[in-house]
Amino acid sequence: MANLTFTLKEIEDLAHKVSALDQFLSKKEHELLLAIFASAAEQVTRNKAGRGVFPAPQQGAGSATLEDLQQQLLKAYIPGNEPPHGINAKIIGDVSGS
Amino acid sequence: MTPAGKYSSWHAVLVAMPFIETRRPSIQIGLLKTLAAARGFPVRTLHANLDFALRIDVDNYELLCQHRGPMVGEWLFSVEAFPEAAPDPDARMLDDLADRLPRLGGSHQELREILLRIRDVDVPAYLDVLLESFPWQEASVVGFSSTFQQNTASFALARRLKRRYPHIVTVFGGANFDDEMGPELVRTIDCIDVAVIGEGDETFPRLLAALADGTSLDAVPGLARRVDGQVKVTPSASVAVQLDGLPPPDYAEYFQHAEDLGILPRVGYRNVALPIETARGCWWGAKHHCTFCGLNRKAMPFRSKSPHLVLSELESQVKRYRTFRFEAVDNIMDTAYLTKLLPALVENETGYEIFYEVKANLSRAQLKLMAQAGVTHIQPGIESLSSNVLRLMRKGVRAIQNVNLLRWAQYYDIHVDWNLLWGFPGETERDYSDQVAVMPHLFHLPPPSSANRVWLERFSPLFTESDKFQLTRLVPERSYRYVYPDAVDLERVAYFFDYDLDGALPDSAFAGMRQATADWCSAWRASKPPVLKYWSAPHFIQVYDERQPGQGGTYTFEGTLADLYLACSNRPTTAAAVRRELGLLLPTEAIQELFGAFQERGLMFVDGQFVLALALPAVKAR
Repeated sequence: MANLTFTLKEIEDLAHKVSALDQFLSKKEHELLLAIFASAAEQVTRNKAGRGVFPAPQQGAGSATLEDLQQQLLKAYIPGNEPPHGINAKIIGDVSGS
Repeated sequence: MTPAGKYSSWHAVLVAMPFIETRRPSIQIGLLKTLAAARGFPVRTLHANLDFALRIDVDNYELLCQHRGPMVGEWLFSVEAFPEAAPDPDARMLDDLADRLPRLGGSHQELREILLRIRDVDVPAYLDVLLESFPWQEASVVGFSSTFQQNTASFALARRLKRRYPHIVTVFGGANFDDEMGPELVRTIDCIDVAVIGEGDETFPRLLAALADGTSLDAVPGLARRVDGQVKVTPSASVAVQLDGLPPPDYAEYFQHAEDLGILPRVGYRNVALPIETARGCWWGAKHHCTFCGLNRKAMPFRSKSPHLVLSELESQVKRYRTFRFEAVDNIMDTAYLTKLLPALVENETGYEIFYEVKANLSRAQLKLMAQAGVTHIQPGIESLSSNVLRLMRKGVRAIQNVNLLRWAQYYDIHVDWNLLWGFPGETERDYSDQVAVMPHLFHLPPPSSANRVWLERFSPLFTESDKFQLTRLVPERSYRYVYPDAVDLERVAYFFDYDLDGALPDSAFAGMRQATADWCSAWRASKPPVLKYWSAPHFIQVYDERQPGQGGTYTFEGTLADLYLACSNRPTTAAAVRRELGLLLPTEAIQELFGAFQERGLMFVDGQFVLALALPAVKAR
């Protein structure tokens, strides 16, 4: 998933909508919501265009669905014997004997 | 007090008779020599097993030593041990038990001829030479240590010695004389003067002193002897021997004799695994005696040698005998050694190679430490790949722990000796069909050395709790009757028993186990052993699978799948634990489902709620 960019207006519009919920929230829920926004704010950076940027969620952090993973498992196997391998030493210096 | 010279003319000889293997000295006589010498007795040790091995061919001899089945070794010396009373002069055993004899010859007839020649020609000739080639006349006492198939050869020599040198006192001891076995042998076999019952470390020197001083043997604990036609047994010592008081065994005469005979080459570095004893008893058995284990409960209390003394003994034995290999005779390694002895061996940068018996619940980190410390060979007592069967055995480990041990031992290049056992009351056919199904998934791990129905041994819970285990038949193993005279009560002398056990499956239920084990062993005899290994980067893993020869292939997993697999690599874990560890949003049930998919591909081992990745890191030494 790519990074998520946003403008100040988009955030203000979202805050306006969320504030409409405030009357339905308990004191504890209100505090929890503020804590989530505060935590999210720490993740935000600003790009060259002046937009806010949320980093993309890390792979493996749990975003994949069971179906995605099952599909990956089905396609994971490729037959074929391991080719012989080894490390070729790099020749340093003059080996010509001249 | 042991003033110098007080016992200097009181010579003792300690003998190791066939059948014990030739490639290492006997720790029993080596240790008793040191203990008796410390009290001032001149003691010699004689590994007379070597002369016999040379006479009948060392390879044949070793086959007889290693053979599990009818007691052919005991039978070979029976006629010389009990001339008129020997029960099988006509060699009926060789026909009656033909299908269970060691494979010394091609056809049955060839085998029969070889064994008869050994019994009727080699054994008498060997005893004749043995009687003439050693200064027995100087000895006041001749001691025999007897374990497994050493009884009749020892009796045969003792009988000749008593006839030629009536002044010699013959003393017997060792595992074959434990508990009621010793008194019964004393009762019925004339050439035994005294038997040491139980641990001989304290008793043997005290016995020598009493004999030399002419004092009463009644004050020496743990003896059996005939007095006025009755067997008299003195009570065992109330305090078990502490190992810190035991000095290093003396193996000098073993090496001298083996090199004189050419059984060992005379070389600078000796490639011999020296027996070393760092612990006695079993700390697990003291809590839960494994149902098949024939260790006497009296010998069960666990005692170990202090790590600094072990370090000192290893060093002194290396310098004295010029070998760096050791074989601990302990029933189980002291877990305290994982924090006290092994780190010291790593720190000292010693180059020892050590064998230990261990419990199979060792972690990756512990196995790594063992490898670094020079533990190159272990016997973990795996016994089964079914958690249900292991529970019936009272092993105290799950199958998944056994598999984990095999994995990390393989990774750290620790050789593992292990067996598969079956025939336990309460087992089900499913326990074995599951094992048969999973074995091909484990082909990249070292195979079992053998797979068999459990042997019934004296002292094991299957024997001592025979009512509980519903033994419907319990008789001394069949070959004993071809070895001992009628006067010997085999019920009291036998260590192995034939039996029928309610609740155990018939032989036919294990055909699949036998075949799967044979296939596993066969795969390891191939020029390229089976492999299942992985390379990993963050959130990315490739698993190369060539457990079936020539059928290689690679699995590639990314992201969550890679993370899941790696999270199950170090140790057995659960879906819930992995979910927490990785901070996954997937429900636990979904993770379990994915583990099931890995299992179907043979990439994971699932044992109840526990799961373990089966592939090993391709990159070594981490």
